Amino acid sequence: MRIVSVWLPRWPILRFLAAQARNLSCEPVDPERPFVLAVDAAGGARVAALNEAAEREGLEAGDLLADARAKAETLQVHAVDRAADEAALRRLSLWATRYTPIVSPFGEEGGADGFFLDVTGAAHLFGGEEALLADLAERLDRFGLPARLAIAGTAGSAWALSRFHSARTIALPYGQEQEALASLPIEALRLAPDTRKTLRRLGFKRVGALIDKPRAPFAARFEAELLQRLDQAFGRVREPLPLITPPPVYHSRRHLLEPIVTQEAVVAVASRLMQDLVGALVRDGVGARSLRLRLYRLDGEVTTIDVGLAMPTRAAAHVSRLIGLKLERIMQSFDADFAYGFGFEALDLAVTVAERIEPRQMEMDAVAGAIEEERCATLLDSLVQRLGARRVRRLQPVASHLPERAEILCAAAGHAPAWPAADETRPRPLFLFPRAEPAEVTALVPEGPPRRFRWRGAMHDVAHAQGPERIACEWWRHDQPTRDYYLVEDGEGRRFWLCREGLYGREAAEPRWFVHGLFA
Amino acid sequence: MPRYAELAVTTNFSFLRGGSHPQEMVATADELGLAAIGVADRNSFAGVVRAYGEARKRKIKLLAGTRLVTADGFEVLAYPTDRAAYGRLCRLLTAGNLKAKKGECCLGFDDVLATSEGQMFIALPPDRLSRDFTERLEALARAAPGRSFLAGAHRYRGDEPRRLGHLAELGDRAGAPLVAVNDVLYHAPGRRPLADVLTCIREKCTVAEAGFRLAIHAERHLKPPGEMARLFADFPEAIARGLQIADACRFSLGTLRYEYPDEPVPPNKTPQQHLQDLTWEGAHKRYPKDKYPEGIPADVERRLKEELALIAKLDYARYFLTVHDIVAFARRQEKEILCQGRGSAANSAVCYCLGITSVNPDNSNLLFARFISEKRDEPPDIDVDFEHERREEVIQYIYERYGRARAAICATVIHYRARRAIGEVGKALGLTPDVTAALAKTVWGHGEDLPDSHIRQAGLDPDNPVIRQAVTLANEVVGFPRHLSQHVGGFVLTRERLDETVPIGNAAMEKRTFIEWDKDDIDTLKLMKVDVLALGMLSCLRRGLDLLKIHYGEDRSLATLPQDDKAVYEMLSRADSVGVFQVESRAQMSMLPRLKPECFYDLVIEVAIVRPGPIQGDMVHPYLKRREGSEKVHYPSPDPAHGPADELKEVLKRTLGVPLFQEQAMQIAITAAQFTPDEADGLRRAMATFRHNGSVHLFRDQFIGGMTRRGYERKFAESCFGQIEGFGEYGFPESHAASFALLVYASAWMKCHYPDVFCAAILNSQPMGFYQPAQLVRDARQHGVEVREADVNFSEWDCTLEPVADGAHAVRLGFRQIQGLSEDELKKLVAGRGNGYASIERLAATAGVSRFTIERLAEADAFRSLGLDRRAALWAPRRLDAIGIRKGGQRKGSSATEHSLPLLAHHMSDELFPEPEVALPVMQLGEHVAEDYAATGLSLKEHPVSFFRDHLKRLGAISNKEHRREDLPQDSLITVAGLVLMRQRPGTAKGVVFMTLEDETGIANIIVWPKIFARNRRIVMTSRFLAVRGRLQRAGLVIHVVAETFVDLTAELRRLRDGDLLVPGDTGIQACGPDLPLLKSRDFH
Repeated sequence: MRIVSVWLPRWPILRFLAAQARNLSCEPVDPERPFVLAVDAAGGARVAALNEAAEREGLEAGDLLADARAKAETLQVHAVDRAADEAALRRLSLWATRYTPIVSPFGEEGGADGFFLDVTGAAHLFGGEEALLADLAERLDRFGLPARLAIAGTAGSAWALSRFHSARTIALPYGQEQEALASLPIEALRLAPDTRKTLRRLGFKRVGALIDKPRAPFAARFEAELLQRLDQAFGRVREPLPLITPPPVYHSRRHLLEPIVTQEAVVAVASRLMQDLVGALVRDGVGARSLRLRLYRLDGEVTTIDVGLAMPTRAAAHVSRLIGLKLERIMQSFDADFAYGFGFEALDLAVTVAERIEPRQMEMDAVAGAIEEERCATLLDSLVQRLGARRVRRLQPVASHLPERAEILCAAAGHAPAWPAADETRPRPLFLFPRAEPAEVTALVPEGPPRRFRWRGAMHDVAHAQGPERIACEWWRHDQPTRDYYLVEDGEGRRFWLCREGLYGREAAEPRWFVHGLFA
Repeated sequence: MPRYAELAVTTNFSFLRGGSHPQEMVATADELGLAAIGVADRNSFAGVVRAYGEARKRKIKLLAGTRLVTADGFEVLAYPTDRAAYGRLCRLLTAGNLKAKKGECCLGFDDVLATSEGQMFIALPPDRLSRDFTERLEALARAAPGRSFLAGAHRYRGDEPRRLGHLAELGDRAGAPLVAVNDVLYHAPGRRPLADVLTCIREKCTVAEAGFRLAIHAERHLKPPGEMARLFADFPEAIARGLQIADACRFSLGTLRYEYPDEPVPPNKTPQQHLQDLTWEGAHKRYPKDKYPEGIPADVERRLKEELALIAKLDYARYFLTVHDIVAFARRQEKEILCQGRGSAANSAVCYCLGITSVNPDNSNLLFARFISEKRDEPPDIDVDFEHERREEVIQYIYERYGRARAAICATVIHYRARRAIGEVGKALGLTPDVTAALAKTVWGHGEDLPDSHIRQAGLDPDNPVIRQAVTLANEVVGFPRHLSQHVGGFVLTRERLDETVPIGNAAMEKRTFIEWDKDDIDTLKLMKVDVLALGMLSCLRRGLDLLKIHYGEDRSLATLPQDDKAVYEMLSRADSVGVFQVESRAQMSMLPRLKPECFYDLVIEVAIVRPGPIQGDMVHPYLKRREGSEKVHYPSPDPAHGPADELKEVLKRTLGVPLFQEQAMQIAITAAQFTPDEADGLRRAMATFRHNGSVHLFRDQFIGGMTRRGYERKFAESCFGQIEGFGEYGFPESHAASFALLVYASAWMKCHYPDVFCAAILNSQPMGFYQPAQLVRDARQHGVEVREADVNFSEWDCTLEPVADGAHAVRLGFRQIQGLSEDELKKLVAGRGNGYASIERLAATAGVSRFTIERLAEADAFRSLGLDRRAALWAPRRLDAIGIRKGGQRKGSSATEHSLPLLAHHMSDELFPEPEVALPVMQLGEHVAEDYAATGLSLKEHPVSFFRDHLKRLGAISNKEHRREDLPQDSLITVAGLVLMRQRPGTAKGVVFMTLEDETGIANIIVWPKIFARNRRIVMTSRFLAVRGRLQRAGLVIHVVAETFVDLTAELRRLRDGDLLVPGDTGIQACGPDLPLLKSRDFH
């Protein structure tokens, strides 16, 4: 057995910084200044991971966050994201299957900050163990992940050496585990914290102090874990590594006997490809949220079509219609080439994003709403394919008292937003002007309703007025005067939404008037 | 001129709802010319007394009411028309409070109806009217016919006339006609942002997320009568009804009459007669014939007569009897509970004879007349301290004797402080925790403002609008009540039912109930309270006196200690005061050699002088100079035209012309600045709360103006006022100082003559005081006391005394010194010990002793009498699991049923189950010391620093003993080192940090100036082992090192603990940290 242990010191910190580099937040963390990731714990948040600058300030993992802030004047703090750390570690482990199929990320007891590679019989492919380590180290460096690497005869000793050996990479020859580990602290044995503490209390501070001791007294005093870890490190028992498995791939391809040139033919093949995938999608309970179709032309050109969907789907007809919509725009440019006989000789379709679909019984009245939503999604998909995602938007309600802020346009994807029921005591105009239009109004001070007003050059006499409805500004955003809204009807039955800005005597000497909207 | 009464006012005592103080509401109502104001907070009367105080001052009519909110959301304002109706409301709220958990009130609609007699009800309609509401409104009108109303507020929702008309119609139909209100949440429209922020804090969201939960406009403020008349132009009768309601409510809080309980008075006797009998009886006990052949000293007798006459005149007998009753309970316990009274009336001859205090009037020159003022109609004030561990017994006795309906603890209003305010406001405005934390950190201690310079210091821009807003709003929130908490021990006792005077609620602590009013409210209404407080030092003295009786045969009490013992005063003058009550702090220690106390009154001054008041008033140095004789005693005097030159002499005589006590400062306000007694009292109160009402500058001008006008020096006037400001933070009157001084003397006497007894007593009373066990033990050893290690065969739970040669005793540390042990288990271990345990196996077989405990004992090295060091003792019992003696026992208190082989239990040894020998690594002394500290907080083997002596020598450090050598010149540059015992940054020291370092030879006091601190912040704040290079400064016996540079040696301590592992140059690349904290310092900010 030859096992590589890859340890990524400060993994949560590095992972956070890498994520930040990809997705710049408004206030990026400065890695040169003290920075910690905190985890909520009983008795208050504690430091879960910290960068070197924080360590220089005397901080330690496990410190109370409040204490840490007292120590380091301007400490940068973010919440630790264990799930993201774990997912990133899995991704990195998957990447490492380029060296060997047997890769295993460290579990919680191993620190969850590195992975093992079983390179038994595989190292020669990369020019030997030394070369493999060098190659691995260099690639990780390029990812911005300085790692410590060790290769040894057992997972246990490789883990110990990667953590506690002074060299950054080390290849330990067969059979030298005992000598190599003897001088390392007992922390190198992957023991539970309690066991470590007890061993230290008893004076066993290095692995070497345990090596030649009789087994029975230890077996009588410690959990089985201690002897098991020792035996694993020295290869006396096997340690099976839990393998990482890549996520399922939904991919199907067809080679055609005769090249095809027409849009209909392409759509027909794509539809069949999708039907091929449906079985696998149903099996895993998922549907496609995003697909990629590749068209291989006789002359070697490859055309890629990406399709995104509003909701996950398994419907081949829907997918092929969307592909058809996209093709319409692309095919014209190919006409010249097709004239020379360069048709498509192969097609492949892959699901690039799969999402869970809740299983549902079809064609029952009870789910009519859901079906309605599905139909709406189908329509949206068609519109998006034809017009582009940024052009298809819908209104969403915003919880704001200000009428012009009470709704917002946003991307149409996803579920339809829920709108609050209309409040008949507070009517809103059918048409709200994007910008309120100034008007000249005659009204009594301080709070009298409008009597007559001039707007867009025309004079209106007010027959009826209701109001005022008073709406003050959102003081935390900007300081604007308070508004009084009136619903007025002129002599000819036209209804307007008038607004007086500025409270007489309190905010403004001379309030200004606007027309903000029209009713039918 | 239109008239209007606002009857729906919610103050900030509806926590996180109201946006203004009750006082602000009343003041604004008065300024707007309202006819009356009705204050009604949610299910509470907590804020009404404050409103009442303001209304009384302004002579505006106040309706004290409450907004009853039922569990299912029905809201109705209730205003009592008379005293009886008020009492019913109090009982309703009390019942609701006791049903719910702390801070909540559980009311049903039927409960409200049942309380309807004498109430004016104003129901508040919900946003959307429902049948349910209509039905309830009708039910309410049936229960309180002619006294039920429906509140209508002009909401500016656009359809007001229609909505109000609808409400008016509904009200008429239901028999609860419409009354105009504005449902006020804040006194002025400018508070809307604050009210929104409070909403966000309550709803735990940010303003950006809060949406419709925020107010749509700023109209819920107090409005002038004219505007209300305009808004309700269509409903003039609704305005008129409000005025009618206000007229009908004749109840005023001022009519609450307080009556002392009369339990302690036996039948057929007047209280005064009973008090006199008890007093003379006590006097004969205090001055027994064998010691006082002439009977009661004539001086004392005269004073007793005078005092009793004054008490009779003011009718305070029942108050003294009530306190006496509580104290008598403590005294008659089988194991007497030590107690000591203090406060304005406590140091009277009467209280001495009643046993309330032990300060002998015979040898103190305190005057009772100073403590009870005839002129001010204010109840006397006695606080009683009890042993802290047994105070609960006293409290439960009080509940039992007077009943929970008549006795309750008063409340303490917990206010928003700057730190919390900025934290919560910042969060509501959406600032990140980093920013709010940085802002909050600029507030150190109780400083309340946030000047721009501080904000800049925190690396933030004060001109940033959000930060600006956060700071402005936070400054407004500071001083807002957050919640009510129980007072540390202030009891209100009444003759009639207390729950008809004020609602009572559950406290967070089990078996405690408390009222809604705090001590200021109680003062305002002139209710009486007795403070039942806890004092650790009394527990310590109790233990000491017990030990003294058992081991030395001396039966003493606080009142019978030898007085004026020269040796005691000499010891204190040497600043040899570790562990002594009140004078053990570093500031006190540097004061003692300068003050050189010689008599009891000097101790009174010593206790009072190291306080914010005298320090901020710059009174300390003048006093010391006069005492040393280097400055002449003189009394500040006014211009002859304004008064006699010696008008302050009577006030300041006792303290050499320098005001030191709070009473003196108040007396100066009255005599020199010509405050009326009421104004002086207002000043005292304004100071105590001056952070949140901003009235302080008014007093300042009056005080300083008054004094300078009368010809006093401005400087003297200003420092007197500075002193009063200092008292505001921590008032310290002479009467309290006198009671404390007695405990100073008692503890010093014990430490001086029986250091062994004192050491055991104080260790058994931990945690208390300034020092940790390690320092207390070290101090005892320096005074020749032998201290022995805790051992399974010799120790008990408490520290004990073991006789050694020539009558002295050694202190045997108790198991209580070992962290993490359970007292129950260890008592079983002691009980099962017999003639001693012969082996660890036999000990392990003792019923009820878990393996966890055995391991803790092993870690504390308590098996030495069995010939096992800590490693051997840790190694051996782990095997017991395997051979079946016990399983599992990881947790404390595991049961005795774990014996699986009872017959074999006593033979579980190597003979039956041999095993190969394992040589455990030998433990070095340094490791032992480190482990001792980890397990018990101290080591008797060696001082940790001694292991680093060579290392420290290389750094050029001298020992702490050496740095006290007299031949070291002033200002010489030296290096000292040691463990950091303490860091302090007192508010009075303008950013100076004080540190204390300890090595094997003693301690060194370090002063860090702010500039140096700023440069070495991390080291100063965090290091545990430190070398400091700085200038030596000596003033008499007091030696400081003024720090210039630091070397952080904390990492070295790890080497001590890890023994061989991490020697320099080791290949170990990671410090694989042991998980135990070693040597934590005590930090005071």
